[in-house]
Amino acid sequence: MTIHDFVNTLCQDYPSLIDYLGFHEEEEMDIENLNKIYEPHLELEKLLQGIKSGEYFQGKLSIDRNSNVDGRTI
Amino acid sequence: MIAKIQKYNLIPNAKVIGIIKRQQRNYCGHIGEDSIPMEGASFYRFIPADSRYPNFLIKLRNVEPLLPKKIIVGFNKWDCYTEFPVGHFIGAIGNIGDLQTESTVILMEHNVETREFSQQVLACLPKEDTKWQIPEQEIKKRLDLREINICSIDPPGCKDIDDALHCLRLPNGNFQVGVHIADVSYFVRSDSPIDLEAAHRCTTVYLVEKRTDMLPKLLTETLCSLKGGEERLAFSVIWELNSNAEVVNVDFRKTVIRSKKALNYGEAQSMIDNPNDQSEITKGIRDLNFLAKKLKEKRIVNGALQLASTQVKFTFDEETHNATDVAFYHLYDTNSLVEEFMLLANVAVAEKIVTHFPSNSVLRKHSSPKAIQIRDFAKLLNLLGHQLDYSSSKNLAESLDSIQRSNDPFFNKLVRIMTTRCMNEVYDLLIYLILISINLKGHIFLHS
Repeated sequence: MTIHDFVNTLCQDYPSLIDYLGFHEEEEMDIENLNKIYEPHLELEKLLQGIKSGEYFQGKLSIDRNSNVDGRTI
Repeated sequence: MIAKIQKYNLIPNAKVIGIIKRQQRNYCGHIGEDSIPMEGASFYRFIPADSRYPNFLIKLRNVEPLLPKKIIVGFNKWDCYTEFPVGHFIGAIGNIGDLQTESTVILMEHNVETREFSQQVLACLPKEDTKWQIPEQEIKKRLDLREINICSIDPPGCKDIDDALHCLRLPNGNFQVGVHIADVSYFVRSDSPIDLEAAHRCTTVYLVEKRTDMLPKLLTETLCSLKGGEERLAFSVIWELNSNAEVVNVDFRKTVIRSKKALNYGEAQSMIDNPNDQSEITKGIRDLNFLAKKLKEKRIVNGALQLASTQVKFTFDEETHNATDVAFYHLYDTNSLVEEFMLLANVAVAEKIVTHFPSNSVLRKHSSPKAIQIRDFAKLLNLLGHQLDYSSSKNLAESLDSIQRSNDPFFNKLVRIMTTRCMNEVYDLLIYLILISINLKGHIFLHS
């Protein structure tokens, strides 16, 4: 019996408990049929290569608290 | 390309193309009304308190009890196929709008540590707790100032008294002035658990109704608080000043003091205003006031900035501890007095540190105002017919003095407040608003 199953048995008395369990991995979705809304990020290898070659810059991104348009990288 | 950027004063654009390392954090917020039902559970919209973040999708079986609450959510993933990132519910904080809940959210969102101090940290405190006495050997090592009329002046209700002052008239007509700071270093040793925890917390955070501590209360409110009538360890700066408030000499000593009285600003002001009060302490405070005025004049002549913030004080309901009223803080001469001597002490200590460690001193500095902000503010003032010259500290000070509106004394104060907002803060965790002034060397010192 998994913890998930055990908590399920308690859901009569403690209905909120199950939500505290945290994320339960979803089944893989059918990827081909989905549209990419955003451009995917590059893989780590490509990123590291690019940083070494000087093509990409690495920094810490911080966005101004008061405007969602202003930010800076260090 | 860099040359081109510099030549045309361009700001390069960039695009995020990947994440090397993610910041580990959770998010406070609340749940939106709309939902996407699925089998057994539904996806709900989680709206983070921090508006820089997008809404999350979280899966919940039982949303009803959580709708009126502020909750904590963790981040799971954000595929390029989903418009929103996916997260998971971690816990509930309390009802939306409840003072406790909202305070907790503010502290969490600003990464303020609010947990109790660990056993390890508490083990660093003296075992005798509040009954701790200064050991004789320690007193022998220090300059004994227990007989001197030292007193402290702080906001009413202040429990963590960290500074005290004294002033004596010397036979040669000059004044001996002392600023005494609670010697926390005796209790907090380098790299001890309590030191590391304090470094992690960085500062004490003041909210309207409570305070989160950098160090345990035993230190902040008792052993390191320069309470009236109590012997305390201190680090003192002692000057000989002439009647023009010029420094004749200065000394830095580890001391033992016994503050005669812990006063608040109003009390101290009443004492010096009362012509029938000729006690030694009152005379000392009057002399400090006299000297402080001279110090302030000098700083202004040298281009010190007089900024302002609306320092407010709240009145609380006895039972519910809710704030019931707010009023402007009245600033007395005594506020200015304390400020001037703390500035003088900071400068003296900075000079001393630089003398001994010229290549690696840690000094406190404020850079010039934030360029874009002050430029925009100056433009705004231009529209109203005023000029703001921020080319130098002194020019800015004179500009601020000249910007007046007839029949509206608050206007000048408002301009100063807005100028303060353009400044680079030393810390932005301090939620309690404070009076700031810049001294002639370009440092800003903060006082509460």
